[in-house]
Amino acid sequence: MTTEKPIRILHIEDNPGEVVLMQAMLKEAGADRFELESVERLSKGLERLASGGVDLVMLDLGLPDSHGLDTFIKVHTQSPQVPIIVLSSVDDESVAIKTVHEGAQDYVVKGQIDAHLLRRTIHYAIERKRAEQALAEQHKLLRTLIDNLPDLIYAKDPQGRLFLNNTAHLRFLGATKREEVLGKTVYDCFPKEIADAFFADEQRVIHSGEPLVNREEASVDRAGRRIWVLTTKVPLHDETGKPLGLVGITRDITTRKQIEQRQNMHSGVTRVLAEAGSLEKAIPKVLECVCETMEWDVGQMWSLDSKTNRMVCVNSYSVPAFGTAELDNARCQTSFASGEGLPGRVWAANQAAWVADLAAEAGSPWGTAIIRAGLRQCMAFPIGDHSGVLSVMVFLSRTMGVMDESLLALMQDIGRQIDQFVQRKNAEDALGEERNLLRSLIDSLPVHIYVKDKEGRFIVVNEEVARFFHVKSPADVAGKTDFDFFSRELAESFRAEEQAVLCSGESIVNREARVTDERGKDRWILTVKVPFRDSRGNIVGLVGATRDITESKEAEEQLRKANAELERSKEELQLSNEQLKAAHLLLFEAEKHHAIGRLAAGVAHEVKNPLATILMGISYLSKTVSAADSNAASVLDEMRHAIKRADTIIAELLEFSSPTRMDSKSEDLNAIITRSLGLVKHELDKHHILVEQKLGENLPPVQVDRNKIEEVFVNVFTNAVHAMLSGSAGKWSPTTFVRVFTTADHPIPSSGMLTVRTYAKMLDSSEVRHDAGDRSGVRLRAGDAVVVTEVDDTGHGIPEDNLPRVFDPFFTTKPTGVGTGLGLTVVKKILEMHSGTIELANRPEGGVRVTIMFKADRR
Amino acid sequence: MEKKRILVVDDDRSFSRMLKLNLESAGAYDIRIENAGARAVATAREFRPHLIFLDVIMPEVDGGDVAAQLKEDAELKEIPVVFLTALVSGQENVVGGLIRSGYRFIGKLASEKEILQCIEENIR
Repeated sequence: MTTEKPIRILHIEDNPGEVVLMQAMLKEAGADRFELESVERLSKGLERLASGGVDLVMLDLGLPDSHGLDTFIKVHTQSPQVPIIVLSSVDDESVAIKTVHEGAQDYVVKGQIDAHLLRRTIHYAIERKRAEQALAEQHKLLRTLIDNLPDLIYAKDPQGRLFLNNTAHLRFLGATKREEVLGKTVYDCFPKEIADAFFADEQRVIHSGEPLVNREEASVDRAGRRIWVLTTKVPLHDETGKPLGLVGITRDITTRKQIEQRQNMHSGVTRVLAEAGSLEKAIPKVLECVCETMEWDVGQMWSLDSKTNRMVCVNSYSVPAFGTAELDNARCQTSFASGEGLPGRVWAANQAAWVADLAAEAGSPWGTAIIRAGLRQCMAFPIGDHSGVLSVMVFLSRTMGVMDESLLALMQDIGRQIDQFVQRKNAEDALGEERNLLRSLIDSLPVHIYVKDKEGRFIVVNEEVARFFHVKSPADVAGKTDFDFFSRELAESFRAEEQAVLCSGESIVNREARVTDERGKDRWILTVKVPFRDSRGNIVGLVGATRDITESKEAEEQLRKANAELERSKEELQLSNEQLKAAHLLLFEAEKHHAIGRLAAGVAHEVKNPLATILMGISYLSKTVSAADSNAASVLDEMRHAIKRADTIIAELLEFSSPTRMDSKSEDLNAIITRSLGLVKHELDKHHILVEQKLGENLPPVQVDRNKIEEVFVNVFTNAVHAMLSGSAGKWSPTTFVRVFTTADHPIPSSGMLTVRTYAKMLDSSEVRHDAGDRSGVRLRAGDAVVVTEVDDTGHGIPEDNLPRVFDPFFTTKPTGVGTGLGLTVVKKILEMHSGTIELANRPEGGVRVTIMFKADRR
Repeated sequence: MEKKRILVVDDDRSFSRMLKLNLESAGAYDIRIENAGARAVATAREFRPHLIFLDVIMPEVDGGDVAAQLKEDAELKEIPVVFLTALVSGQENVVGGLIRSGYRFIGKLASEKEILQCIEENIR
C-alpha cells in the first residue's frame, strides 16, 4: 500500500471546524496516504473537479450556494466517474440515504465517525466506484457488440414477450425505438401460421430446457416476402432452475439460400441436359428440376407452332402437392400470338420477365385458371437462338419469392443453355449421321480401309477388310495385327513399310506392289498409308487404304494389247479403204461404160427400127412412084441416103460405148487362172492354204480382156481365202488338216484348200438366165459352147438368205476392214461386159463354189 | 411355081408391114407376119415357112429364145433363120447376112436388094 500514490480528496465543506477535524482524522488514519483539499463553496468545488485529478469527493450537502440532494446531483452530474461520500448531519440522514440511491458511494454521519472507519469508508468508496465503472463499461461494450451484429438477437420471458433485443432485431421488426417492441410476442410480428410455429418452438425451448441450435427455417419479412433464416434459441433459468425465458439469435440466410437454390437448379438443369438424349426427354425433367429446386408450383413449356405462328403449351409440370385439372385444360385451350399474354410478351421481347401481379393475365383462359389456382407469381424466359425465340418457359408459384435481376439473368442463361443443348443435339445428330454415312461409305467401298496404332494393331477396319480376313465383323479384327492374318514374310514387309510412315511422318501414296495370296496366286495391290495424328499433332498410328488392282492391271495389259491390235486394224482398215476407193473407181468406170453401152444399144435399136420402117417405105414407094415427076426418084434417093447417114452415126455411137472397146483378145483361160493364182500366192502361203488345180486340157479360147479377167480371178480367190479364215477350225472335219512343212519341220494344220477347175461344155436351156432389160443382145444361150471355171473353198459357206445379195454393192460378211463389199460387184460387172456369168452356191460338202462361164470363142 | 413362104417375126408392126409390102411386090413371096415372139413357133408350125426373119430384141420371148425353140423343134429345126436386127449396122450387112455364133444376121437398114439376096441365099 505504501507504494501507491496518495489519494487526492476534495473536501467540500463550509464549516472550518469540520475541515480541521477531517484533516486530523485523515492524519491519524495515515496522512501520507491522503492529500486533502478543502473548498467552502459548491461552485469552487465544481471548478476544482473540472480541472481533474480528484480521486474522491467528501461532500457536505449544506453549503452556502447549494443545499441538500441537489448538491449531490450537481457534483455527480459533473463528474460521475468520481466516487462521492456524502457527509451528513444526524438530522438529515434520510437525505444522505437518497444520495446513495442516486449514485453516492456512501455516507457518513458527522461526529459518529473515527479515523479508522473513515479510512475504510474512503477505500471502499474508491474500490466500489472502480468496480461499478468497469461493469458499466463492460455492459456498454456488450451492448455495442450485440447492436452491431447483423444477426437478430432477442430475449423473451416465459410468456414469449420480448424484453431485450438488439438493433438488427429492432430493424427487422420495423421499429425505431425499443419501447415500441418490448413486451410484444411473435403474434404481433408474423402471420398466424408462422407465428404459431415460432411460438411453439419458443415454449418448447423454455420449458424443456433444451436449446434449439442452428435451425434453418422459412419466414417472411415485413413486406410478406419469403425469407430464409438460421435460428438458435437458448433457454434462460435462474439459479434454482426456474425458467426465465429464452435468448434467441436469428440470422437472415435468404441470400445464401437463394444462391444455393439457384446453384442447385443450375446444376440440376445442367445434369438433366447432359443426361437427356433429346429435347423432348429433357424438357419435362428441366421443368421438374426447376420447380423442385426453386420451390415453384408449376412449370410450363410454350413452343412456337410453325403452322399457326402461335405459342402453344407443349409441356407442363406441377409439384405433387399442387395440380389442377382446370389449369391443365386451360393451358391446352390457350395459344398466344407474339406480344399476347406472358408467353407471347416474352417471345416478342426475347427477354426474361418477372410478374408479381398476375391480374393482367386474366384476359386468357390460361390466365384466369392460374389466378383461380392461387398462383401469385410468375417468371418466364425465352429459349432460342439468334434467329428468334422458339420456346418460352414459364414458372408459377403460390408464394411470393424474393425477386432480383440476378435470378432473371440466371433464368435467361438457362434458356440459352437449353438452346445450346438443342443446337448441340442437332450438331450431335448431324455428326452421328455423318459418322453413320462415313461408316457406311467406308464399309461399302471396295477398298480395304484400316486404322492401326503404333504397334501395328488394327483399331478400326471396314467390312471389306473383315471379308478379306474371313471374319464375321470388323470388330473381330480390332486388336489384331497383320501377323494374325498374313504370312510372316508379308506381315513383316507391311510392318517395315508402316514403321517408315510412323517414323518419318511421310505418307505412302498409291504404291503398287505384288503380293502372293493364300492360294499362291500373284496379286497386285495399290496402297495408301497416311500417318494418323492426335489433336496435338503426335503420330499415334496410321490410316491405310489398300485396293486389289490385279484385275485392272490385267485389264490394262489387255487394253494395251487391244490398242496394239486396234492400231494394226486401223492400218489394215486404211489399206482396205484404199483398196475400196480403187475398187469403187473401177466399179464406177465399169458401171459407166456398161450404162452408156446399154443406153447406146437401146437408142440404136429404138431409132433404127423406125429408120428401117422409113427405108422400107421408101423402097416400096420408089417402085410405084409416078414417072411423071422427074424429081420423085431423086427425093426418095436422098431420103434413103439420109437414113444411111443416120445409121452410120448410130453405129459410131455404138462403137464408142460398146464393151467391145475393151482390149478383148482370144485368150487361154487356164493361163489367166495360173497367173491369177500367182498374184495371190503370198496370201495363200501366209494362211497355209493348199491349192488344187484341175485345169481342163484343150479348152477353147475365150474372147476376154486379160487384165480384167485376172482381176476377176484374184478377187474370187481372195474371197475364198477370207471365207476359209473366218470359218472356225473347230467346225471342219479332220480331213482338212493337212500335213505341211514349216521351217521348224513341224506339221501344222492348213487353213483349208482352194480347188480351181476348168472345163468346156455346151449350155443347156436350164442353165440360161435371161435379163429382159438387156438390149445388148449379147449373152449366153442354150446351146452355146462355154468355158466353165469352178472355184471351191473349204470355208463354212454362205448363209442361204445372204446368197441373193452377194453381188449387191457393199454387201459383205467379212469383218469391217477385211473386205470392201465391192469385190464381187466389180467381178459381176466385168463378167457382164464379157457376156460371161458368175454364180455362187454352197457346196453340199461344205464351202462355197463359184462358177464362172465364158462363151467359147469359135472363130 | 409355089410361092416361097417367109415368116417375119418382129414386134415392130410398121416395119413388118413395110417389109411384107416390099417383098410381096418384089417377087413371088408369101409373107406372114408374127408380132409376138411367144407365138412364133406355133405360127411357124402352121405356116411352114421356107425362111424365118427373126427380130432379136422383142419383149418377153426374144429372137434368141425363138431361135433356140426352133432348134429344138424336130419339124422346124431345119428351117433357115435369119436375124433381122437393128443391132447390126448397115456396114455389117454382107451378102447372105453376117454369121455370128452360127446364125445369119442382117441389119434392118439393109436395102431391099440386100434382103432379097439374103432370102435367095438362105432358102434351100
